[in-house]
Amino acid sequence: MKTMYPFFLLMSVAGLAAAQGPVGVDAQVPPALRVRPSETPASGATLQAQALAKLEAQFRAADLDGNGSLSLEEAKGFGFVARHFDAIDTRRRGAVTFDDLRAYLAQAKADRR
Amino acid sequence: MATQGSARLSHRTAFVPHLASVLLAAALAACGGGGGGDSAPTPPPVAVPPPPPPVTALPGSYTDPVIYSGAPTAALAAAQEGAAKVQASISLEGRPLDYTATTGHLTATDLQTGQPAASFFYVAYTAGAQPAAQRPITFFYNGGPGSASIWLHLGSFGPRRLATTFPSTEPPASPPQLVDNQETLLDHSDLVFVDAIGTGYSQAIAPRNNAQFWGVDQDAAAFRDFVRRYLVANNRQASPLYLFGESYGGPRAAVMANLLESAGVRVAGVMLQSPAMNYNANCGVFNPGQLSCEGYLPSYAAVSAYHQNGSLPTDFSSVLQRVREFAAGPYRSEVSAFLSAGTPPSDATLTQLAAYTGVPALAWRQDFSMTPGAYRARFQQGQVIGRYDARVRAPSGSPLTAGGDPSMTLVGSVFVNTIGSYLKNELRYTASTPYLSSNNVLNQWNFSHDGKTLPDTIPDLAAALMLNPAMKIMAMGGYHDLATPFYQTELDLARLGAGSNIQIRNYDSGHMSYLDDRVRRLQKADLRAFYNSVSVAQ
Repeated sequence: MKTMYPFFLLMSVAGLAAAQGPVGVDAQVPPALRVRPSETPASGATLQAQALAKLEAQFRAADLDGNGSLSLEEAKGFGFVARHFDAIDTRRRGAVTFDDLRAYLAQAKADRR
Repeated sequence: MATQGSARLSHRTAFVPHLASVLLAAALAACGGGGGGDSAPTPPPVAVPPPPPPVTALPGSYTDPVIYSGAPTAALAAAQEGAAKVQASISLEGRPLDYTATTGHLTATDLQTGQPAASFFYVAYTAGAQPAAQRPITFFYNGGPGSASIWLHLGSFGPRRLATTFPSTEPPASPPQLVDNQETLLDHSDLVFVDAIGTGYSQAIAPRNNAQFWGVDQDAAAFRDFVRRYLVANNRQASPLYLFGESYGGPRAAVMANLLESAGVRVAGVMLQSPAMNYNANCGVFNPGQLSCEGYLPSYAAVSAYHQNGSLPTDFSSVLQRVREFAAGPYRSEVSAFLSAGTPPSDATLTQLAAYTGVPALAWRQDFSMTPGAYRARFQQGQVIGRYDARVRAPSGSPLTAGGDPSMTLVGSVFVNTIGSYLKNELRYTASTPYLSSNNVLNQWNFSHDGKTLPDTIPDLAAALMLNPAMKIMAMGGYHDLATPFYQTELDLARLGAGSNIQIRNYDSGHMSYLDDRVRRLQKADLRAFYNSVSVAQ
């Protein structure tokens, strides 16, 4: 059987490319996922809101005591905040809220223009 | 614990796996199958040189004692970070470029728990003596999901390249060989090729197992943790960090960019080679009749023009621009009415479709939102065109078509057969188990991401750009790619809005556009400009 393994390798490469189907099959995902949910891809303000929601979810996950702000210790769970802690914590409270982060990002974007 | 070596490799002789080719041919014949379309005749006997010393005795070599497995439940008992380390040199534009090749494993530890999560196999090429802050470092990976990074590693911008005659279907005059890659990016960046968990020699570490990393989020988080480990282990935190992902590696790069930026690791740039950024917008992903295939129309036009002329006309970019406008204009509005209410398309639109795509108006009337699979089936009776590169055409039933995509069959076996000998003989890394070039993980992959059943990773790029507005993005695609069409990538990235730091480059080529000698030169020039770094070449 040892001589067979190059053949299996080849078949798995071909299988990956063509999902082991005849010409005409595009499948890149399992059959159960080939039914499309109807929705329009987000862009503009909607996309920005999605991106912000992702950041907020990461912020909440790092907020271990759930008090709505990250201490320097908690910010280790959101390394970006830890790295820029002093710049984000403009009021020198030793803690930053998500609004503080938003303000910092808005300022950073404005500075770039 | 990398061992040091300083032997200068001679690259004049390439290592071609004759034995493996013969075994492959025998196996194919035994099974009555085909697919090794590039199988070359066995070379005539030649004078045998004296046997070289065993690789394991050469400086810098590393014999990995670990047994690797890509099985879903497989897990390594413990983490080991051994590597082979070889000093090598290529001739680049007539001058030597010296470099170090490091081949082995680094342990990704989970960012949250600090526990070892996975042992990643990588090959790192480093060159020059610049301070870390001036020297970019780029992480490369293929997609699948389930593909090792063998295509980018051996076919694109590494210092050594497997020279093929792709996309020609004529048997090459001599077997493909490894050559000094004149389009390597090593003069402008250090290059790290890394394999996904369950492919190559990358594997989960107990108590985690491989399958636990087979999902959009788990996979990208582990890759992030590998990158973090590599940067720390090699003192490269100050280096401009680039991610280069192909195909599924594109969405992986987008998710990673956000995860790295969130973790406080700055990403200088993301290169997306034929990426599938939003699965939900690619009509080829779904059963027919659910989604507009407008993203494919310019590709259909390119494929049709190519097969009519044997190449693309020089003024084809103006044609493509008209097809884009047609796709986003009359076609989009009519296909929307067709899909939602069965409204038949207009004769004018059908006539235009036939003229652009080479498929008759009658076929378009029957199948107005034609998927790439249906297009390939209808394009030319008795012929099969490639999915990853539709320039490759072979008669139905011929060996090249046995795997379903002649463009993959054309190059698949030679890549798969070369990686093992390259790792062993040039990079001096040996393992007792075979390198897993691909692993059929599709049906076990958790595609869900951000509440969707299939990933849309444009929001990940948007989030990364919020954290780092200076992050650069360059997407590259091939006109003849019928898996991840270039126009769909344009539509996907357009959602981010116009920005000077987002560029798109499309080439007269396929999914792996770099396999084309002419196109690889163009890509090198574009990527050199993208890095904007100082060359270490002499």
